[in-house]
This record gives sequence, structure tokens and C-alpha cells, in this order.
Amino acid sequence: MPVCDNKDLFAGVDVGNSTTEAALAQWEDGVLQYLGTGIAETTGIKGTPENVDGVRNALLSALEESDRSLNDVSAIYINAAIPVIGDLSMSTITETIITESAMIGHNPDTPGGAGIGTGRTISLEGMLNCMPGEKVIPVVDTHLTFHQAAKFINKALDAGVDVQAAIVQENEGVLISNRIKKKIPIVDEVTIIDAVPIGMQAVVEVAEAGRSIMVLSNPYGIASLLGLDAKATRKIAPLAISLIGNRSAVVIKTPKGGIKQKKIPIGSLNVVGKKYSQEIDLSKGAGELVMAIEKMAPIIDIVGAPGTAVGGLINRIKQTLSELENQSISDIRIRDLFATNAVVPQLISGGVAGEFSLNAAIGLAAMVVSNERMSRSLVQQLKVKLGVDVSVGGTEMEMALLGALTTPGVEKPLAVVDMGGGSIDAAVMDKNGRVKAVHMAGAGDMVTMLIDRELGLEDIVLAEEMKITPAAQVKSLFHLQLEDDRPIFFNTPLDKKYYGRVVLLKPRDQLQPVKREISLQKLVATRRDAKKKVFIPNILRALKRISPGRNIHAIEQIVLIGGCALDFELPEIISDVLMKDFGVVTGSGNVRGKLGPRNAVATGLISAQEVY
Amino acid sequence: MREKKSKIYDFVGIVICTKKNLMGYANVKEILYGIEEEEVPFEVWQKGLKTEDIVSAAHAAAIRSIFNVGVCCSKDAIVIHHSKLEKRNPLFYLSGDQCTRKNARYAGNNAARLVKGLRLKTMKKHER
Repeated sequence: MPVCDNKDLFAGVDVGNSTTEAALAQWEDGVLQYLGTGIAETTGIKGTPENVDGVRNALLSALEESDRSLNDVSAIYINAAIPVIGDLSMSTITETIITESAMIGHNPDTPGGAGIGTGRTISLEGMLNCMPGEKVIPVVDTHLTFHQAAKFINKALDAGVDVQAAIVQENEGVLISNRIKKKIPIVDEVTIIDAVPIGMQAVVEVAEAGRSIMVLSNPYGIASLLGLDAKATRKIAPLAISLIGNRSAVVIKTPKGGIKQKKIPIGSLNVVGKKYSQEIDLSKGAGELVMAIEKMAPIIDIVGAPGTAVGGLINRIKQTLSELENQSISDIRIRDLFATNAVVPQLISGGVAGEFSLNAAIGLAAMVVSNERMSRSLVQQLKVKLGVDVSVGGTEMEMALLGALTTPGVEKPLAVVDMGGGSIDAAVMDKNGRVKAVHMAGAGDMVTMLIDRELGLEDIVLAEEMKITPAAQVKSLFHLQLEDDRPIFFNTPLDKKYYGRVVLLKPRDQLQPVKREISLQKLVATRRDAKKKVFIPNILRALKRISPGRNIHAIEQIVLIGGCALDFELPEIISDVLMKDFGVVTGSGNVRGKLGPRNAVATGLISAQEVY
Repeated sequence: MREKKSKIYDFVGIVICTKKNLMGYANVKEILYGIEEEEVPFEVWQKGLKTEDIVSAAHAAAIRSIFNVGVCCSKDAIVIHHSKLEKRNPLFYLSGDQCTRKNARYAGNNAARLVKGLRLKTMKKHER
């Protein structure tokens, strides 16, 4: 244990998965004085010698507040940074396949006309050969102008042909509707019009402005108009449900039955506990897996079947750690697994207008934990490269608790929940200072993955932005509307790239336009839901494991720390549940009365020097 | 499409102005089709463009529109303006190879979407 004389500068350093934090202090006549706080990006995997650069940067950042230099630092207390490797995966449980076209998810802005039309699909020229009274639906591509298309339709109507509706390639539904003699429903913007089969029975429905379709969103409505039996009706039911809320829709009856929702063999996991093992079929959803793990906790290992998506996830993280430690894969154990249900939009193969369908999916987060050997080599490297005395100061969660205790209004006994990107770590300290801690997989990064997948972004960077930034809707050239409907006005006109769009309210009054067709309500609902789905069950299961007698009500105070405790809405979401359902006082920490939820472990490492 | 004359504004709709002898010009028609497809009323102001200054004319058209949106089209340029914007800073100024028929149609869509508060369509260069 390094001895620090009066005025000697010493530091507490916390190497996290994404950030490295430092707290600087000195003894002044027997009184501990904090001199600085620093933060930097963690370099390399936490707990490995590559962290040295990150540590140096964090120290330099902390030294900025004082007039001392790196040479003045005589000792470093570092957390016992045990490498934790986490990984995520998302697999769909169901898949929607269409054998022929059935335009699900296509909802053009300006369909033409209104009403319901049932008939046989036909080309414009083909209508010339129709008998009077024949019910037809012309399919209009771009080889004729919309004027000519309207002329063809009028000619057919004059000849007594019962033109019931129209399916149009270009964005010209209204233009055609305004030039024909009969008011019929017209669905437009069908980009791959050649894939619409000719000679098939079809139904087209367009609702009046401001309303949604009522017949095609009802399986019995489709059955009535296309003459389907009970078996066929059950088959098209998922299609009808996915049309709910659309302003227009087209359903085509094809001999093969059109649409199938297939269950994908997602695989199963074998959860190995102390007394017994259990095989869980993941296609049943996340609930069963999470329950099984809770029943058997602490688990010894989880094994996935090769060739399955979940098996791949398990093997990936075991592989990473085995390479890191030069250990054989068979010696690596999964410490924790967390699962959550999700609904993801998937592009339908065989679609004609970029349609997508919603499919059930399961998101997984898994974690492996190394042993202490790694952090010892980090300590060696720090001594050599920084020329300071280095010692490992207690377990991470014990230090987090000590740091959290510097929050005004907090005393023992207390619990702390460290919400990071890769894991949620929770610990309790009783009146006598005894500590119990757990580490759970599934945290901030899992929330980002859910937002990315459930909104179909295919852009993890955008998903991260959406997670941490409040959003708004631009309403005019001079104002936008916040999530709570309050307006914000601007003195100068907004650029046209923001007009009518959902935007993210970045720091320093910057606006980031969201270049996706996602409504503000959908974005907010998905974002908040993702945070709840991951953090609430995970924090509850963590607290159950460490609370006296597995009773969360017995905990009196919880302090939230870590990167995710800085989120603009997450701490309130959590406090709300814990206060209302369990009566526990919960809130974001305020380390040293001024740092908020940051720097708890680093501060704890210094605070621990007062105790010893 | 003139439904009624409002006291303050002249036209209940987007106002488009152009030179009288350009009314038959393809781009003007495409703009009108674009607005019609979005189901927003519009009015053609026959005497609107007296000089070569299409930006000012578009702004004057916007002022006469109850929706504050004005469009001006000449042989090789299209301007979409809003009465609350500075006269010299229109929302859109398309010229040269941006003035394709497709872009003229989108310009009509966008003038209407400006009224409806919807996000605007991108008008790329050289779009055939």
C-alpha cells in the first residue's frame, strides 16, 4: 500500500468498458482534499495492458483543473478491472414470405378516389376486349401517360365495362381519378408494377382522407370479397392484421395462397445450473429464458447449438475471451444471459413496392467474465509506463458504493446500480459495510440495438443518437413541436432539409434531421419502450439477487450511477417503478455533491483511503 | 379553382405565375400536376410575371396566396417561395439541368407539401 505524505498527489482510476475516469486528491494536514476530476475514452478492452493510454489521458484531464503535472502524481489506486466481454444478437422468430404479390406495408401518400373495388387484374389495352359488366382492375405502368390511361378507362366505362379500381405505378392516383367518369379506389406508387400478376382476382380499398381501411384489414372482409374458405381465411389473417391503420390496400388472390408466416428454427439454449440443466426453446420468446435463468441462478454455463443464431452468439463471445486469455474455449463459461422480445420490420422478398412486414424477434445479451490474471499485467504496465506506485484498491462495486456515499442525502445501508453500455452492475452495502454484488448482461448497448432493429434503421450510429437525444417535429419554417407538444419558435427560417421532418435536438441548438419515414410518436414510443424492456427487468433481477432475503422492499435507498444514469429520461423511468412498486427511494447519484452520477468508482477509490 | 375571394388575400390556394405565352410550356403543366396530385388548391396568376425577375414574382405570388406559397416558372427556371421568407432567399431555385419534367413535377409536389407541412421531396440534378 503506497504511503502518501502531506501534499502528495494521488489518484483513483476507474477503467470502464467505454470510459476511464480519474479522481485526484491530496492530504492537507490530515484532511482529504479533492483536486480534480477527469474522463477519457478507454483504450483497448477493459482490464488489459492496452488501457494504459486511456489511464494517462484521464489523469491529464483531471490535472487540467489544478496547476500540477503528471510527474506530481505519486500513487494510483485502480479498480480491480476484471475484463467483461459482452455481445448482443437479434434473431427473428417468424418470417413472412409471399409467393406472389400482396402489397403489405405499402401505404402511398396520395391514393386516388375512394371505396372498394373487386375484379380481375388486367392491362389497359386488355380492357378493350372486355364484355359489358365485366369487373376489372387495370394495372397502369408508365408506357402511357396518365392522360392516356384516364382516356382508356373512360373508353372502357363508356363501353359498359365495370372498371372497379386501378393499380398505378407512378405517383398519379389523384391525377387519374380527377379525369375519369367514375369514382373508384386507385392505389399508386407501386414501383415494381411488373410483379403485379395479371388475370388474378384482386381487391383494392382506399379510405376517405383522414380515415383507415375497414374491409381489407378484416380477415372476414377479405374472405367475403375473394370467396375464401375457413382454411384460406386463417392463412391470410396475418396479412389483414398488418394492413390495420393503412389508408389504402391491395390484396390479390393467387393460386398458391399468397402469404405465409413461417416460424424460423431459431434454436434452443441449454442452461447449466449447479443442480440441473434445462433446454429452453427460444421460439417461445424471451420470458421463458429469463425465468429459467433466474430459477437456476447463479448459472454455471449456457450452451448453444451450433449452426443456430443463438449458438453463434454464445460461441462468438467465448471465442473472443479465449483469444484474449490464451485459454481454451471449453474452459470459458457464460456468466449471464438476458433476453427480450422485439418486433422488427423486415423487407418482404417478392414485394412490388418495397413492402415490409413486422416479425417477432428475440434480442439476446450474453456476458463472459475473465479471471484476475489480466488486470495484474495492466498494473505492471502502469508502474512501468507512468512511473508511479500502483495498487489495486478493492472491488469495483465496493468502490462504487463508497463513491455513491459522497452523494448528499445518502447513508448506509444502500444499494448502487451502475448502468453502463455492456452491463448492469448492482451492489448492496449493509450497515456494517459488508458488500454483495452482481453483474448482469444487457444494458445501454442492448437498448441501442433494439432501437436500431425495431425501427429498421440499419444504422447503429443513428440508433445511438436517437437513444440519447430528445426529438421534435418541425411544423413550419419557423417553429417545431417538442415531444410534449410545446412549440419552439425561431427568428430565422429553418432550412428546407428540416421541413416536415422529425429532428433530434442536439446540444448547442443543433438540429439533426431524421432521414427516415418514422413518426415522432413511433420514435418516442420505441425509444422509451426499449429502455424499459432492458433496464427494468434487468435491474429488478439484479436487486432480487442481492437484497436481504431476496426482498427488494428491504432495500431503503438506491443510487443510480454510470453512463446510462446520465440519460435524459432513463433514471426517472427507473425511479418511477422502484418507488411506486417497491417503495425504494431511487435517484441519480450526485458524487461529491457536484459530479452527478459520474466518477463514483474513482472517487470511491480515494474515499477508501480515509477508511483504511 | 377559385372558390371564393378572401378579403385580405386574392387567391385561396398556391399561386403560380408565369409569362402569359409560357402557359403551354411543359414545365408549367408538370408543376400544376404535382400540386393537383397532392390535392391542394391552386390558382394561376396570368399577369404575374412582368419582368425577368422570377424570384420577386414568386414572392409576390406567395403574398397573394392564402397559404403563403408562391411558384414562378420561366423557360429555364423554377422558383418556389414563401411570403414570410426574405425576398431574395426563396425556398427553392431550380435552373438549367435541374429543370427537368420530373423535377418540375416534384416542385409542384413540394409547393403543396410546404402547405401541408410534410417533408419535401429531393429534386436531384440530371434526373431524367
